[in-house]
Amino acid sequence: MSAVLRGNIQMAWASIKSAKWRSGLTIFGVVMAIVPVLTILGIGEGVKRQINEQVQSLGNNLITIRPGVVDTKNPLAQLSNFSGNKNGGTLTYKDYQALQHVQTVDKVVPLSIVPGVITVNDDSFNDATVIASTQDLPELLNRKVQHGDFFEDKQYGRNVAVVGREAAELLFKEGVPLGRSFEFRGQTYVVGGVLQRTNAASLSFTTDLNKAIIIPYHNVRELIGQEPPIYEILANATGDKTVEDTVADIRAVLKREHGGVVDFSVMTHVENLEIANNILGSLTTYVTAVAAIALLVSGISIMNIMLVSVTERTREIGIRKAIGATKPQILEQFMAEAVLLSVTGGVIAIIVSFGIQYALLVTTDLKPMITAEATVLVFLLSVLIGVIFGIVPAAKAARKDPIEALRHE
Amino acid sequence: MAIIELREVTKLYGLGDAMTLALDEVDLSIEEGEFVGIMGPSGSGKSTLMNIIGMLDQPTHGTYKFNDRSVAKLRPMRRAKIRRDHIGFIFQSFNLLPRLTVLENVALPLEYKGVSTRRRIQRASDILERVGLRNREFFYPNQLSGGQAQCVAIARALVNNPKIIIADEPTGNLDSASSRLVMELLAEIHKSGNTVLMVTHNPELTRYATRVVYMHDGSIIHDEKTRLGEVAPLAKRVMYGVPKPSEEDDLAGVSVLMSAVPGADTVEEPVSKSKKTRAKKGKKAAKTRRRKVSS
Repeated sequence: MSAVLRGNIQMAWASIKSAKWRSGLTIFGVVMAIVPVLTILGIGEGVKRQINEQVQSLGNNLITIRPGVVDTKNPLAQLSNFSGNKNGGTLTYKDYQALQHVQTVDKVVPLSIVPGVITVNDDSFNDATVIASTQDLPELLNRKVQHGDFFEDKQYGRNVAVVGREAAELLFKEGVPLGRSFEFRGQTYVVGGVLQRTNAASLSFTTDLNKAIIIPYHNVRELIGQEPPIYEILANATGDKTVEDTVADIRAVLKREHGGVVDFSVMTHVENLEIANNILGSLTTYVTAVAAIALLVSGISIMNIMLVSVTERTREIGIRKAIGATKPQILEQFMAEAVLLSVTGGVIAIIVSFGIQYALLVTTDLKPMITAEATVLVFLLSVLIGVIFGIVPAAKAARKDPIEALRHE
Repeated sequence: MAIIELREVTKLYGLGDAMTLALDEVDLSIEEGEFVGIMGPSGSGKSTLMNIIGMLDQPTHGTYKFNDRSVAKLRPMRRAKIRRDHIGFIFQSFNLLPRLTVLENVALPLEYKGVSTRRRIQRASDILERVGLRNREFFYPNQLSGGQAQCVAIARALVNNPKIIIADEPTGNLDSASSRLVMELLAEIHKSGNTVLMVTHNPELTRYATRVVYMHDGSIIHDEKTRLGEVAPLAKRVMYGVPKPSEEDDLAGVSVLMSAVPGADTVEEPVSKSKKTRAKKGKKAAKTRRRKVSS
């Protein structure tokens, strides 16, 4: 670093410190513009990684059938499908039965959410997720029961449940609550198994089974006196044909069952996860657009502050020119100040964003990833803001006539 | 050899009816090692002359040669570098940068030259030692007295070993004790072989000069050699033979001191050699001087 540049940076710091409020507010603007962008990039990167892990763990043989049509052209509309039409809507027990007879389908399981309160030793849990399904669920999800056994359909008379790892911790304060019981809708259930941990990706359509309590589907029919509404049907292909062919067969069968109306969606697991990617991509685009506007505003703020600074220091510019500063040296001096303002904002924004992402990692299901590329990109962006919006005031300072400047009060 | 050579240098400001003739075909040669005092009333063109010699401004007409090189052909960056390396400026109002320490102020021209931090701090410290202010290195300008601030300004002017020091009323804002301190410092600098140009209103300060140039209305009207330690002859005459100020003079804004200066008073002995200027002065002088002589 040249002596002049180092000196300019030191002088820029001195100038910034001498106007703390003004500089602080300008830096704050830059921070508020960059933090959302960097945070969303981190969240997005984390979701992508989760999606990749899920694809690898679940394989690409899994087919998901859901009520309602997924609008692939409008990613944000898919958010309504993301929370799931979990009350069933257009999928019924008959659809499930019909799919069992599709030749290219190996196994089929229905998934129904059963509302109710779980009580464990007088402690009530309103937000526990109770899912009704059938015995082939673990196989379809490529998951094992880590402790105990999964229930069998022929045991439908027994009130036995399988819990996810996090559900076990939540309800029973232990990881292996085999034999423990809980009350649900007036019935006593016994925990027969604990499911192996699944990699649930945020923003994906798959339910997080780590937090679920799974009970036999046929029990629920007895419990609520009717077929429970189905929010999702999972199926896998036999392998005789491609997965896409199996999807086509499923579509054909369901269309027939629904009287020719296509009010359902059939997707491979990979397509499912791509939708999550699309949603994330759209969110990132929107946030980036808003952040770009915020960055523009903060850049204009930097330009404004620098113009004020140049005017305040007109006499100083005259003195510097009188003692031999060239135009490029004056330009460099004020550019250094503008870039230092924006880079300081950028660095603080990186630290704040790291903090937010860490907080999200600890307190939510999101697993943001801080990547070197995103950090470097944001840093370079902050430098660019300083350069672009500092050039006009710096050029104005460099062009000042030294004699006129020396006369300035 | 003349280090500074001006030939028929003219400076015009403004346009049309608002045009001002700040310098009127000035011829001036300054040899290396001279201490030249420049005197004249306000508006006589002293500062303009200093700005042009210091390359802060450019003449409208005429030629200026610095070290035998024409300045007109130099680009602004080159002029800035010459200012940095060969010319030291000292201003009436010191013009120190308030956010920098004394040491940083003095080292600033070296910073623009690209000297390393260690070397420029050392050099600045040595110069401050020379002006007797090393113990104030880390003070800020607002913590110094006027005399000290001007000494720091002198140190800054010297730090690059300039050929010429241009001092524009260096004692204008100082008390007599500080003024003496500053002038002794300038005298010492002159003794070391530097060339000094000093603008002043105070005839007493011509004691330090080897030559005094008198200006009036943009022209040099008198130029005399003087002995060190003595007030310049004309300045002495002006100082001790000061006519009483008249209301007319006050209204005309004429300096009482300059009223007695020969060139300012008479038409027969103009200093400018050009016929054009003589004709101009003839008309103007006839009107103005008749008023003064009567007082």
